[in-house]
Amino acid sequence: MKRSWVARWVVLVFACLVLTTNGWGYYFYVLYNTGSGPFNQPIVEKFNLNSLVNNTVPFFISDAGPAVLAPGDSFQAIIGEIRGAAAVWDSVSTSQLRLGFGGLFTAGAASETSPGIDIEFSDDIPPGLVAYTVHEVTGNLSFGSGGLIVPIVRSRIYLPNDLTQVPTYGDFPSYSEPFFVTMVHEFGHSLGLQHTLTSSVMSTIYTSAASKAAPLGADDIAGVSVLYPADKYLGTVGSLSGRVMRGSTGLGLASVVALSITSPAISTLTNPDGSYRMDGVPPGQYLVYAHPLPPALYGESSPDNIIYPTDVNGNPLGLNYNAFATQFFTGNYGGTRDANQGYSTPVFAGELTSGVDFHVESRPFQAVYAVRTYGFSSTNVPVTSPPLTRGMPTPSPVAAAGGGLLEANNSNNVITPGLSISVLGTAATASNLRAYPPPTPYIAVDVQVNVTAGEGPKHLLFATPDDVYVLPAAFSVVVSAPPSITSVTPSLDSNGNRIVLIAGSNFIANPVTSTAVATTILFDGLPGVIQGTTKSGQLIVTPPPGQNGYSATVEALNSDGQSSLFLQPTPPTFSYGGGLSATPTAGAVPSLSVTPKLLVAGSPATVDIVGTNAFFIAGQTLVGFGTSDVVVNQVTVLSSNHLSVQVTPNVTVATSGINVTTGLEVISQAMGNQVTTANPKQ
Amino acid sequence: MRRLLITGLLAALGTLPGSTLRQLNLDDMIRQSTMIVRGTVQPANSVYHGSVIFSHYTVQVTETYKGSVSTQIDFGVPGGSLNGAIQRVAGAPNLSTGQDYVLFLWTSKTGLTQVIGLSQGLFSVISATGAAPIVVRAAAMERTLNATGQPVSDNDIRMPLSALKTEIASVLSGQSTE
Repeated sequence: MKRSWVARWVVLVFACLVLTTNGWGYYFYVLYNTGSGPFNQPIVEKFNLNSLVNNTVPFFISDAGPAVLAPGDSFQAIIGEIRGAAAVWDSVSTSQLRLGFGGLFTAGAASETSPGIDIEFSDDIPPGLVAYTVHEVTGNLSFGSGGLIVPIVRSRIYLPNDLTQVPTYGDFPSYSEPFFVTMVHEFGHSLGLQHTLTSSVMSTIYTSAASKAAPLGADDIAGVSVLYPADKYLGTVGSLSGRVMRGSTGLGLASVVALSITSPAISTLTNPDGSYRMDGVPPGQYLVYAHPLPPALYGESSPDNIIYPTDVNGNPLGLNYNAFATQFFTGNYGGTRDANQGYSTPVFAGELTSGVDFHVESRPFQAVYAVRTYGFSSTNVPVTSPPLTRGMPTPSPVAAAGGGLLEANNSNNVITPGLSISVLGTAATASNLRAYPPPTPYIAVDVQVNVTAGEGPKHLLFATPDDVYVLPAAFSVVVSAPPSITSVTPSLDSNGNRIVLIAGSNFIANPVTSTAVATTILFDGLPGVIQGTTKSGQLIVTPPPGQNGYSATVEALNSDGQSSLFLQPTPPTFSYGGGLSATPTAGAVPSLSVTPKLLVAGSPATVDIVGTNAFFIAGQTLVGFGTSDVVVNQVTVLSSNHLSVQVTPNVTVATSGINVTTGLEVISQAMGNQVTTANPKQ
Repeated sequence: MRRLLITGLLAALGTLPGSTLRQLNLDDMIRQSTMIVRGTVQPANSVYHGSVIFSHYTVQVTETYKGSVSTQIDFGVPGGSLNGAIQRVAGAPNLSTGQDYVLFLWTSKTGLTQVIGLSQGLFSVISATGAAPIVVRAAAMERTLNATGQPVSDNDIRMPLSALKTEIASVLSGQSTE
């Protein structure tokens, strides 16, 4: 039952008395227990781990699938890629939140009472929008892990129902970089992360540097880890705190960023009174700077499409857009726009570095904002935050688009007077700033990477006579070209198991074991297991299980952030052929026989599943009931076609079906089980 | 040579790749909208469409630029509160009761009418005494004045209403050069 606001305040006051002051970092969905300050007790919206089984948020994919697929695509491939995107967040070891695939669901069939994430395909997405996420709260406050929170009760991600008419892209195949990065981004929203400005996956279109091979930035990892910290995580990282002031006024919604020459950026937003605390910063030395949110860009309803914080009653806090000149912290009053004069601020594990204050000057608007950089692979595929190879004899052009780079109201593409671009640190030099011919509103610089530069993301500074803009991870330094795949050959190992021989170039050897490979091979978004290499250098890969006759796209991802999609935007495919006596033949329709037919709510049960034309594998077969109200506790593979599943049904729901997933094969069967009300007398 | 190559590629890209929003230009919006109207909005009710709460508004139409003429139109904005549930959608347009707008609306196959491009199809009409009305993309309203009261200039859409009407008529008649 919904609690009254009075009751919430009682809880809130109590909470404030017993809790220590928490900082908040990053761009969370935030409420405050006061409308007038002090703002030292932000309350965030997130999943309540106490409401989850094994800290796992189940996610479900609509069994309707998209109505229209891109050529060559399949619903199975879409499921695989979405699972791959979820695995990106699931793999953050410093966060205790896990994501688990709960299988397919029928939209609208069940009224869920347990938290979860639904992914649907909608005809109601208007032109100009690729995807969006809704997260739902009740407004009630709860004690969650880490203190008082507003629990997310459900998140829903919406993708277009027609994946051939997606804005900008037209065809939107599931194997593509944009599809995958979009899904990772939307999953981030579903967990409670807002947009950031640090070139991370949670950045908007305008500044994102995320790629399929390196989707998460340091800010993404810190954000989700601070929201759902793993045990002892906060003791391994440090914190920064301070205030952003204009005169005697604290500035809310200013972005404070910590970055170093050799590492990606981590950021937070200030509280309404200008104070901030940034947690989750790995120990090290950082340049810390404060910059304003960019103005709301075309199509955005607020700067960076940030949902502003409110008080607990949902009232706005009177926050306005404030522009000011970006400033680096210098350790004393004044600050600087010269990054070279910025103070190298130490951060220690488990400690707070306080007093990192800024006294900024107003500007009518940011001189430069929302910049995104591009480069091109040797096959002319555009790549954001381009990888630049160390040791190249000539500089590489880096193109950029964004606000303030070109003179406003001048269709001749004239560089903004006084604009200069430089690289933060000594990893590279930038020269030959130029504009492109109209009407394309881009600029470019040539970037020469020094032979001694370390690998990883590098940052660009865009300076004007009275302001500076920092673009974290504007490009990255790599030591080799992107991986490419020249052939995909099906084979069997000596035990008759299915393997794939992958020939290509620029696969990365594992630095720890010379026999293993750090390159990841994906089959429709799911990783294969690299068993080794042949004498001729081919990778020997065990693909994820798939039904005979199924065809999966194959991509190589390198740990330096490059993928074979940089060279081959349409990837090669692997056809699951025969040869394995235990696997079903191509075209055979799988089905499930499920016992019992009825599950009683509140009573743990064992479900016996026998598959026909199915192939189950221990550790790889997942079972879902299409609802987060039926918790799957354990799946035991008794044989290749026989499962035993321990479940706990929670409440009365009409289960839409049962589905069994093994690798790329999804067997979905409507009404395999029904869940009924537990006997209230028991 | 390489520069020329890149120039060509960039031009071919047309718009930037992105993760959520696509920037619609004015002519895109004119073509893809199912209705373009001017009017004032009043909040109506909140309704579930599928699992999403939509906050509905009613437009008291004063002018119709595209679509069949009607004095009143209903449309929905994703997000809102209903029956104790609160749903938030980043980028959903913020509407002010009584504000004079030009709305580029789009009706889906399911019959749900929304502002095109989430917030992209929402323009405020500003009428100053003695001056011809102008239209400003609504989000830009937040920064037409900065914290010190100075006007902000940037490259937002801001044009006389008459010019917008002319552009709409031109595109709909197939005379646009874009």
